[in-house]
Amino acid sequence: MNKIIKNTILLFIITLVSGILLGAVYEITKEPRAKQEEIARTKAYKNVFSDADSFEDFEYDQSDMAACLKEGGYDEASALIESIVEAKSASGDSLGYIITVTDKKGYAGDITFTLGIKNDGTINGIAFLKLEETAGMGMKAKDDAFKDQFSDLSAVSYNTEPDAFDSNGIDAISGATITTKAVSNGVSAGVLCFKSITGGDMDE
Amino acid sequence: MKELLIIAIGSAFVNNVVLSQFLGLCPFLGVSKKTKTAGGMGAAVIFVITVASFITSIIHNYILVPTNMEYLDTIVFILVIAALVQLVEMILKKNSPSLYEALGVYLPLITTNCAVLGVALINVQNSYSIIESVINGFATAIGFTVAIVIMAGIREKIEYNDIPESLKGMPIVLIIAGLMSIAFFGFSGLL
Amino acid sequence: MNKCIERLYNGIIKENPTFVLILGMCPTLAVTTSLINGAGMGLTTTVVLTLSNTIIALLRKVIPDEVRMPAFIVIVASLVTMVQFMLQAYLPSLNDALGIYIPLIVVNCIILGRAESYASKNPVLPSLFDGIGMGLGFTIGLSFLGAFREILGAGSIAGFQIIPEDYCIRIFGLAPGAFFVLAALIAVQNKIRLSHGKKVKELPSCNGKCGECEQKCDNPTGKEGE
Repeated sequence: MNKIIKNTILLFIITLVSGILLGAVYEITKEPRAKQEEIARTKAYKNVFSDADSFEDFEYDQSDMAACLKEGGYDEASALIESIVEAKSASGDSLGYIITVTDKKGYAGDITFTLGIKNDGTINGIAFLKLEETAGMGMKAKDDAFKDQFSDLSAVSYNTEPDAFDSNGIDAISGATITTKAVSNGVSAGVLCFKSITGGDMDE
Repeated sequence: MKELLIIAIGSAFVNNVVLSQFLGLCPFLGVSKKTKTAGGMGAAVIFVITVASFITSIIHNYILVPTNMEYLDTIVFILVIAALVQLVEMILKKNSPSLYEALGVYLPLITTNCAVLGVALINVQNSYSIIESVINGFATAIGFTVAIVIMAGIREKIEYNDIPESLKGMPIVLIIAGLMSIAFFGFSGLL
Repeated sequence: MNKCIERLYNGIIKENPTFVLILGMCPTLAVTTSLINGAGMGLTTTVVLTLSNTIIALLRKVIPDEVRMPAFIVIVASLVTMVQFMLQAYLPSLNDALGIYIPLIVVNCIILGRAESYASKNPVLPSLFDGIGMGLGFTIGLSFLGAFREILGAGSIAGFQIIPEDYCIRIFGLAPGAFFVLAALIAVQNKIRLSHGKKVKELPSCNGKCGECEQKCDNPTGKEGE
């Protein structure tokens, strides 16, 4: 019996020390980790809105947004809006919105990207935050050749129906139709979201 | 309900745990010589993964998240799984000797099976609810069982085949796994 | 000092975990889609393995025999989580590429296997070198596989395009390719062994040599002799 108690105490001490050390490392790396995330996010914002100077969180009603997406054919199992920020110029004028979209239907899991749309409805571009598709196939979504197809399209006339990438003039990545659909559906969801926050009518 | 079905089919076939995610490969290669033992291993895995998904998901959602200690996920999960396997073994031994007879010998092998920890971590990563976690765990384990039983069936068939000397043993098994993996690609259009 | 060099040699060549012991298959196949990913996974594992071997060797007289497995698991799991934080903080791109396979280093057979079979029985310095040797052996195995798959599947090496993309065999970048490349590498090894009059390599016994299950592996059913 004595042995069991001794073993338990030793095991407990080992666990305790490990736990404390782990907590210490967690605290030490907390700041750099937060910083890395921040850098990654700002970079993704800048990628789709290079002329913006600052980014401000945009408040929106999440359940309204979900309802709006659902109406357009995207439920939470297919695509959802992670966050919306407003891009502002140096003088503080609103330039447009950056919408972070997650599409759940990627080949190897969720695909998350930012989508920048100017106030006049022009799509500025997309930049990936999370893309874990197969190297050499779905991963090609990262290449400019695919990604840039979305730039300068008009959100106003964008066909937001699911899987309608063809009608928007998007060429599929060869051998990676699933990824193509996931990304273009994500963009559609983002466009729907943009339309809903701007009330459907554009500034110009 | 529809979402649960999608999760289930997704983890059982489309993203098969062994053939596309490479989790639980060691037992897949090691215990797939006979369909009978493969089936036994599969049953034990189904049992352990389902229970482990349930328990780890409760611990994550009701203990670690409220106390802001999600970073302890890995260490807590592996300990819970190890303890769980021991506990299941003891309970089975005492209360259900016949089931213990069937599954008991496979249980110790499961602690270090990365599929169990992998499923627990995937549940957290996808922020599944408890029900979703259990379904995902169960379906993943079904996927594992399907794969290992098919593998064992094929290996039984090729046992007396004339295989080139240097392909004998490990290489031929890996090639079979590769071909199975291609076959499972067929499921990818399912969702 | 000789012993340390012997340990390095043992880990990298004589008992190479990927090609000779065939251990740690999950990461070996899953993350070797490119050279960089393979090498990154290998080096991350090396760090964990070296630290865990050292700590376990330090504590080998303190840890009671009966509870050594849970104690090892706690130590390894804490180390893995710490390394994961470090990666998130200083190498986020590698962290993203390896994803869920980083926490899964905990259940990598090599780590618990070395803890059980070497570090828990030997002094600190040789254990440290054993960790480095085994880790580097693993890194070499993974890099080799990663390089092969990257060249065949994506036509590039470490990101540099060397074969035009139209001539790539995509399947090598996908899951089946992982199985095929490993099968081919082991078959070549077998060929060499055969020409030296040795026997072909056997399958790994279930979970490799992960501690306790070792004896049970040879005969999982425990009764009928197969």
